Amino acid sequence: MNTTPPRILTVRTQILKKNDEVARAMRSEFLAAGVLVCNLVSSPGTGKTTFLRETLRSLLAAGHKVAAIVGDLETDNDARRLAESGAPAKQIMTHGLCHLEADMVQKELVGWDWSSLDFLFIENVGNLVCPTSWDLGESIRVALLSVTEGEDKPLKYPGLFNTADVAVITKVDLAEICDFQRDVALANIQQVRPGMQVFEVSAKTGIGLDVWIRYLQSRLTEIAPHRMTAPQQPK
Amino acid sequence: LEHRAQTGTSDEIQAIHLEIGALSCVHPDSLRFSFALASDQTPAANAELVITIVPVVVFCDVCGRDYELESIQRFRCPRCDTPTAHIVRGKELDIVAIELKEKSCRSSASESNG
Repeated sequence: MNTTPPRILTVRTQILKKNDEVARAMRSEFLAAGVLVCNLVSSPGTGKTTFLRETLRSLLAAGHKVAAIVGDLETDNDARRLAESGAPAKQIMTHGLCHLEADMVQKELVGWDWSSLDFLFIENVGNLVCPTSWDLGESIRVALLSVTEGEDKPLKYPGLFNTADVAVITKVDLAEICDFQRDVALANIQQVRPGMQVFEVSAKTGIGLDVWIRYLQSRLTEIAPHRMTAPQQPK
Repeated sequence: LEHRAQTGTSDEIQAIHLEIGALSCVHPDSLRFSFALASDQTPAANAELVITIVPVVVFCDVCGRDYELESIQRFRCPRCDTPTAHIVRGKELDIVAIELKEKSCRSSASESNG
């Protein structure tokens, strides 16, 4: 006979298995070295870079060793803006890819003395969809939302907010001008991710940054108690 | 796209069965579109993607059991309305099975199941 029935092979494998394996290996290395890694995700224009630059500044001022990796489709503008903080910053240009993947971050770490860092920040490509599925080995995934974007962003992009560990509302100095309904935004975040801690900040005025920095320090204490002996609390 | 790496044979792939969670941010139409491009000139070139959407299932601490969510914009127990972030299913992006089509000239060992 020249026709045989199709064979079905049960494979049960994750499509993103390769990425997940790289991410898992990196996470173990980061945790073993006592480096707290944050993955910042938001739509373009939320203010990730400015927020991160001020975060880096505050952590440096408190005596921490920090660095950042930033992903964009093109240009190294953001790495240069982040470097204004005084922290080392590397740019990944994805040339069209809409998110960062674990092996891209892994490549950037080669030859870099990241293990002495207290904090490593990864600023993802501005996108509220695709970064959801790509684990970068981070300990904290931070979803950012600006007051200019509308309170219903969490409802429109539940996947991303749901996979995040904490949320940051940025540009709160503009809240009044934008008629930002804070209660609605907070309720929407809780709808898609019950119990999520939310920080409300303005990188421009500095509002709320101290609370955010204290949170980062408390998380660092959990994974690397020895690192918190030297640095001081932010003012 | 690693589909081909999973086959381990030179047989032509007739269909790939996938489970896509409602929270995976993957749209079946987009996946089919990109799969057609990515699979060109591979053993999976003409394979059909059989996609099952997995709804979000959460565990409610109060009720002590799993529930399918009515809406992914509302992470609350459908029965007692308690908020829950404990996701049991719905983030899948899995290849479940591959259907292989035997080449007509090669029929030996066709019954051994991988």
